[in-house]
Amino acid sequence: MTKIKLSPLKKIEIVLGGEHVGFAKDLLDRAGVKGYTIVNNLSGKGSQGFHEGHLMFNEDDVLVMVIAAIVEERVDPILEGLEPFFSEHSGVVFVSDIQVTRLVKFSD
Amino acid sequence: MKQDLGRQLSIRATAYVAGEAVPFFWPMRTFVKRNPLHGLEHLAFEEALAKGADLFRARTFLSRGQYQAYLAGGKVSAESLEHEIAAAIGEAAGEAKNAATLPGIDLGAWVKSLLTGCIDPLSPAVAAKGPDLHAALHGAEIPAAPASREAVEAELLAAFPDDRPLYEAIDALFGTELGERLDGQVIRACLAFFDEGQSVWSMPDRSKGFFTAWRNVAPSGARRVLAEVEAGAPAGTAPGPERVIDHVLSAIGVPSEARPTYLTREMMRLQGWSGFIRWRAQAKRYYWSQEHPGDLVDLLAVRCTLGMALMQGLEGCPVTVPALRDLCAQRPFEMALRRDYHERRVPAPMIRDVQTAVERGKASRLDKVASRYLAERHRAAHRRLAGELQRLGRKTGQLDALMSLGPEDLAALVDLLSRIERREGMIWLRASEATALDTLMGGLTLTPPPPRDKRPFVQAAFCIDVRSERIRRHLEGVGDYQTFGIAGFFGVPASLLELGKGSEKHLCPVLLTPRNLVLEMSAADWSDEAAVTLLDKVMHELKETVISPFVTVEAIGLLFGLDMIGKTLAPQTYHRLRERLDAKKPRTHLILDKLSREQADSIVRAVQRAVIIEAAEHELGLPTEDINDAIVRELREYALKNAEPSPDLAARLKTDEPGLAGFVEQLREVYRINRGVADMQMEHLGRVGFGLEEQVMFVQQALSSIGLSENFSRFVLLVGHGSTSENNAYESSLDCGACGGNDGLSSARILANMANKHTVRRRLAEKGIEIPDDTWFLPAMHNTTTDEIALHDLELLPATHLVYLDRLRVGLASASRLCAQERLPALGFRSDHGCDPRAALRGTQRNAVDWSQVRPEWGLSGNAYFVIGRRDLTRGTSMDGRAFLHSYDYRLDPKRRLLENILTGPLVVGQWINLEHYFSTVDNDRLGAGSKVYQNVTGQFGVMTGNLSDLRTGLPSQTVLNRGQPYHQPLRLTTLIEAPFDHAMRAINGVASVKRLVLNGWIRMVILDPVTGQAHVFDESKWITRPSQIDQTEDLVTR
Amino acid sequence: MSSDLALLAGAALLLPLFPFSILAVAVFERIGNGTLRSLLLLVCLLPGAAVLDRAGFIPPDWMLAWAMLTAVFYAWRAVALQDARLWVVFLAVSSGALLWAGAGHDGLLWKALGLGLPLAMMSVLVELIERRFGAAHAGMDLRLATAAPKLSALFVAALLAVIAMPVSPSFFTMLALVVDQSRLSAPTTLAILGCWILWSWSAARLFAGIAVGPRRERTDDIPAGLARIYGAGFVGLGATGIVLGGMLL
Repeated sequence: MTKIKLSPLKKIEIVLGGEHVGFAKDLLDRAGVKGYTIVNNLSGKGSQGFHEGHLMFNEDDVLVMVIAAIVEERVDPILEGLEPFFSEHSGVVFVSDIQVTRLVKFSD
Repeated sequence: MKQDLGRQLSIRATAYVAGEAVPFFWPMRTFVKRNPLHGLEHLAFEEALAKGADLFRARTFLSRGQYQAYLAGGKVSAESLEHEIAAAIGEAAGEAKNAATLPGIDLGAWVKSLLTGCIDPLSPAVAAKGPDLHAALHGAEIPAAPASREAVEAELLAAFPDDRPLYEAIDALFGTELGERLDGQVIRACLAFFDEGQSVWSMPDRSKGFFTAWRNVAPSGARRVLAEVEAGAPAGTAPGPERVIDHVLSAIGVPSEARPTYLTREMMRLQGWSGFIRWRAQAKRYYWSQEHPGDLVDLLAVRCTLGMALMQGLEGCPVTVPALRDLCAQRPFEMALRRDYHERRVPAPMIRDVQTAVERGKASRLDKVASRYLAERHRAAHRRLAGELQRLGRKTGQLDALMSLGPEDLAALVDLLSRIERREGMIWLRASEATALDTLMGGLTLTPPPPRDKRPFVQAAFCIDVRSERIRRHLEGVGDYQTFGIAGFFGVPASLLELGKGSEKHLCPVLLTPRNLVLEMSAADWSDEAAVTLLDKVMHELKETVISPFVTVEAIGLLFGLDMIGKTLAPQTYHRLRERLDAKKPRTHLILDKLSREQADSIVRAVQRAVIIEAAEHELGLPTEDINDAIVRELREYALKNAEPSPDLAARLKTDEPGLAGFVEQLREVYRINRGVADMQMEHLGRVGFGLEEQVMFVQQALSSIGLSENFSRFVLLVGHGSTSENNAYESSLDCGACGGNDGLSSARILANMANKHTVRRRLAEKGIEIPDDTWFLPAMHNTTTDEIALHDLELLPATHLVYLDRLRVGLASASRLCAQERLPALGFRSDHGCDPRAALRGTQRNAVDWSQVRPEWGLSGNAYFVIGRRDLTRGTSMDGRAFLHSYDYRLDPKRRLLENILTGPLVVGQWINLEHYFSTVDNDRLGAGSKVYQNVTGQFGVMTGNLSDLRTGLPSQTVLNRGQPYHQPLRLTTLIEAPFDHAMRAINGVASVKRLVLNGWIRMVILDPVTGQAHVFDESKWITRPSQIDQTEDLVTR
Repeated sequence: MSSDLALLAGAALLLPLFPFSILAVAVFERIGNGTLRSLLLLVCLLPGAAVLDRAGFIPPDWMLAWAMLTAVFYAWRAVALQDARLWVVFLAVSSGALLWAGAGHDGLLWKALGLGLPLAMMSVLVELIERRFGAAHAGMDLRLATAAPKLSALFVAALLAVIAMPVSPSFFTMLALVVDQSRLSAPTTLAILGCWILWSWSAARLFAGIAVGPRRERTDDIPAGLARIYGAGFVGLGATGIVLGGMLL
């Protein structure tokens, strides 16, 4: 049985309001991140109370999470880039250690 | 590198956050009314207005004189004003630390006299000192105490905080005009880059982005700055816009915590352009945004570079923030003098001395004159204040009490009065709103209507637009018509591709993105255009080239002259003549059923076939006869890589093998006959139409939301609205906001089409909505300029209904004439048009075609109320065209879904409209668009005043003002929901955006509970139960 | 010869050339009474013109050049002025210097009157503004057009009269001066025209600073009756101008 080679990477998860998802995508693109996943229509509780994940007339009122796997060097610049945003808006960022099988998909 | 990237991203995020306060500006082709302070909606209303006044440098309330006029005219009742004054006094006294009781002074009377009797505000420019005021009041000399350095310095630093652009401070202190010059340069750069085909010569390299393209044509001063930036950058790459912003802000010395606000203020200086660029950067489908990309970071980089270049060209002025602070610390008196002089506040007695001192510029003399000036300013302010207080004392009859007050009490009095004056705008606004609410409540009735013996002749669903209120009232008056209010797009968000057009129109509020596409097609052969229409097109294009004016004036100038004379002297007649000459648009059908896979496939094949034939003609020079179907099929299969070509294909195409290969490559790359594009086309075609279940859902939702689920008439009119005007850059603003700035006819046709289908009705019957067979949904168009209602799609009408058409037409025509008669006097017309309904209709028709008319109709001006409830509630009263009326029956909506839909869509659109009108009225110069007379269309998407100005946002003065005075009464939208309290509350809580608007006070919410008959008003974070004024002669709604 | 020189010296004081003009300006500044100032402006040019007329000769080239330079200098300095009162004085000096170009030709006294009448009218209106608003200064935020529309209209009329717009008397005077000098000396003609342009420019700046601005509440306007009287005065001024024109040209 061939052993599958795993490579370590960092995962970043950004939870923010739906109307700002364009900003997050733009930031990740400019940071050179090759791909990301967007999870829609979340609900959750924060310092402002519980936010109902109710997809109504448009997609702007909901919470969204953007998930990307990035190399370690990119973590700090991206966090530095997100800092001015989160000092004015609600949301969270999580950075965790992960391992991926196809490293080539995530780094250049 | 990593540091650099982090810094760049950080600057981008800062710019993003800074730009959030700048409101979007949509291209005026589809004018969108929005709240200019939308970015501040997370703050409470009063707070947001204060911040908005600061950022936009605008007024956010009317002037006192204008409110006094309202008081005199009855729009503000005296009781509500007194009530608000009392509340404000309570608040102010609570805030003031030395809330001593002032003997003999009735503060309420004083404030009332101040607000209703005086024109100028009392609040002194300098802080009032009790003893000095006491002296002035009693006619004694005010001691000439020298001003304190610290106080003056503090005043200066407060006027020029770190987050204010430095050149504004330099302008205020040294009279330079840096701000204006910078704005002019930035506007020119924007005009050149963002032009959408209006100018003949365009900026080169625009596809590379705004900053990159501008850099190539930057003036020399800017180039020097860019060279400096480059010197600090890592070698090899040209510095990007983020680095430029960073460099300039660091060089100026803006502290990092002040940067977001600094950048916001920079953008706000040209809030029209910034708003347009901000919108454009996120409009992913906007063609021009893809072709010539440019975002706020580029704009800020251009601004910072040009600003720095201008400041570097100065001598003798501070060019960094620390240098400015030092200057204010070292020479505070001189700086205060300079500031007052350049802001033109120096009073007459000292003006000459001050001018000489400032112009000579000698520091010692300046200091002396400044000390003298400040002392004199202090004295003059106190003398004036004393005079004003005495006048107030006389008005209130408490002059003796005033004169017997001691110095501390005097200071406390002035302090209290100043605090109240700061709240003055809100006092007046709340009083106006209270009066407006009283007016509304006085006209409502909860008495149920007498039961019907037969169904109404016609049921008509109009848009909630305020202009529909009038026509609905008149229509109900001329016959047995039942009217409803529904959002103008009838709840069906669709994209429309019109006959002969190349791009889609979104027929829904801008908040939404439609997922379905509807096509308009015609059976008529429209390929031969009338010769005159062609001439028209050629003439218009002739105007665009540079040389043509010189040549064509002699040749065909006279033709233009005829046009101009005709349009000016006899607009209606001329218009009728022209209409006869122009080609008529043929009758069209709407394709709104989903295409089957085979249909889509054959459409794609047909398109490919046509393209291949064109390509063969164009590239190989083969005439159409030489290309038969078989050849086309072979080429197609070859291009799609489905099959290899037959050996003699090249010969049949009169070319050789390499030639054939080249041609097919062209087909694949240039003409896009390839698999990928074909798949995309299939996907696009998948967007066409609505499935059966979707159609049923939309019809059900539309009918339920207005409470029409039984007792259907023979005719159910779906009336969309639009307007007609000539030579009006704002014509889209008079159309339907719910349809994204287009007219509502297509939406009406779509829903009518759906509702008339047998298959749809069958499914609806299963869901409980039984539509009788003889009910027919008829689309119609209400022209809000002329008030005419035109019926459409009549060729689809069943023969059985034709006999009733005449009665319907007569009723509609009468309603139109009566409506025009009601409206025309407000448009200021000569009396010979005013009296007779027929003449009034002619008057409004003339308005629609007169190219000199700056005010074809008042549009939505005057809007004040949003009523969600049954029509019976408002039936008995005239709301004067000031209310959005949405029909709603809570008994059909147990899960509150429909109410939530109304709140999240139409109400928010109504709120945007309301606040757009509010701000355009209170400060038309800064938050509105100024007078139409001086406007010029720019870049085909906006207007400027004069030949160089910021892009004008908001509404023009002719829409909201009448001879300089407000015509629209600026009020927040008073929203009334007719539903049980709990039901309505839960619905509001369920929609986060509306909940926030209510909590922060952007809308005034009232819930009228039809079961208990009580009204609950949300005010100052709590619900207040109003004593009932509603007319209830019988038991309430119990059905 | 010496009497000529004496006369010339006298003229240089009465129709002051730089630097004697500094004295004249200072004297005018001292006079506080507005009515007195207006009257003085009306007649101040006449004595000097009379002296020049009586002497009856054409001034030497160097003196003419000196006069033209003075006129242009004061016109140019007037452009930067913000105080209307001082502006009238500067224009008076400039006009006085220009009158030297008319020496040796007929009707010098009428020309002096033609220049003086509009100046006096202007001074009267400036006085009206000063009485109501404290000063007629472009550095103050007057915005006269909306604050006092009737007064503003009259002010503009006076301004236009001073800068020799037809049918003001000064227009015909300037025209006569130009016509006379155009046959004799190109530089002098150009100087007169240059002066004229500078007057207009400075008037536009003054008007922009005093009258133009965002709308403000109406205060302190002159009563309608008084406005009509002044209006009639301007009509009279125009009529005088036409008569004067007939005499000079």
